[in-house]
Amino acid sequence: MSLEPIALAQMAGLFARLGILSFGGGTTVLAEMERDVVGRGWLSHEQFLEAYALGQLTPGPGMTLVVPIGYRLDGVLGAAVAFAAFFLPPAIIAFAAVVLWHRVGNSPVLQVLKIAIMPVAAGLTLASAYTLGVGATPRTGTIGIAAFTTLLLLRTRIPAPAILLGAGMVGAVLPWA
Amino acid sequence: MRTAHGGPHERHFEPHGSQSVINPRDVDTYRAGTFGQTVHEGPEREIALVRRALLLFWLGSISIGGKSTPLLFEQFRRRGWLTPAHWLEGYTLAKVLPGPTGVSGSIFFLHTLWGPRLTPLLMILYVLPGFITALALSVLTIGTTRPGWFDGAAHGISASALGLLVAATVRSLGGSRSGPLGPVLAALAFGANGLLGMDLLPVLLVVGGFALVASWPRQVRS
Repeated sequence: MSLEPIALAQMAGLFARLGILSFGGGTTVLAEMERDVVGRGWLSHEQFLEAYALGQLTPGPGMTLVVPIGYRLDGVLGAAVAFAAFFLPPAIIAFAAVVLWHRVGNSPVLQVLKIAIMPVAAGLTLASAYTLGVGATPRTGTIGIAAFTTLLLLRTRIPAPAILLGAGMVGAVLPWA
Repeated sequence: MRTAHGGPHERHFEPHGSQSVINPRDVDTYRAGTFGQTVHEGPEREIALVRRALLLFWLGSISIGGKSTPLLFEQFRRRGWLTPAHWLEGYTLAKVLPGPTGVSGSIFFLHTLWGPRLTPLLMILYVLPGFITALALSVLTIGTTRPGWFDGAAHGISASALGLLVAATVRSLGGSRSGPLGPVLAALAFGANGLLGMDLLPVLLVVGGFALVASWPRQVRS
């Protein structure tokens, strides 16, 4: 799929909006992103989930799932635009805030803001898990691997990328059809 | 060389800002208990620009698994450049700023260490490996003819990623207990954005605004 310039601008606008709205961590906007991207017919739900998985396998700050989404839409240009659109606006805001913070000094207001944001962020993260889970095709393999991954992550110290790669190896030999 | 938290003869290290006044008990991801350690302020952290650039590129390359901010901080802490107080300040600030926590947290740490002029350049070097890797994986896996086993592996990794999100959700639910109405606000945000599929902006404005109002008097009283 190759996007028209207007559609590319729409994608950039969407990701910039989501980047700026992602208070409390990137995963809080996953539900909204899934609805927008799948709703516009840019990706199927399975492709979105695959992009999320790919994003988890890459280093650096999370939410690099925008790169495979952008790439699927418009190749390398789409990937670069999606990445810049999602990360640049909040990075500029964060930079300005940090500069100001270091000049003004610390304040209890920050702690109040955190107390206010944390429950909302928790609820939005739950909404993301719900949206991605409900949309997934209900296969025994999917449910089993997802449940086992959750268990491993909560009960052991095995790094997430190792679990993802292990799940990939299991998935390669499972009969999915 | 100075010490960050300690006895009466030790001074506080304040690279580009003030020390944190945040309660140390509020650390929800960092539990090392390493207060009172040595902090380098002089030439030890004033390494050459090329070394800083290479260090950031390297750290950006190895921080796989969505835990980039703690890993970045830990590397700086081990070198004696930052203290857990900086972590508290940076992590809390990152949580209240828009955008991925990894980005705003890293900007805080880099700015604290090396000031505003170098932060943008070092930040680009820090996120570049992630972009390159994601792009390379996209080129290799999207739009190509994939064998059956490869599709199966993709299904497996996708299912595992779903489990990863569920685990992250379980962990984040602890955050919903902050504030008197925390669980109610979390349920409202989940119901509006998840169950009803409402747009994020009105949810953030209404539920977030309500959360702020509910939290404010409690802090003022304390």
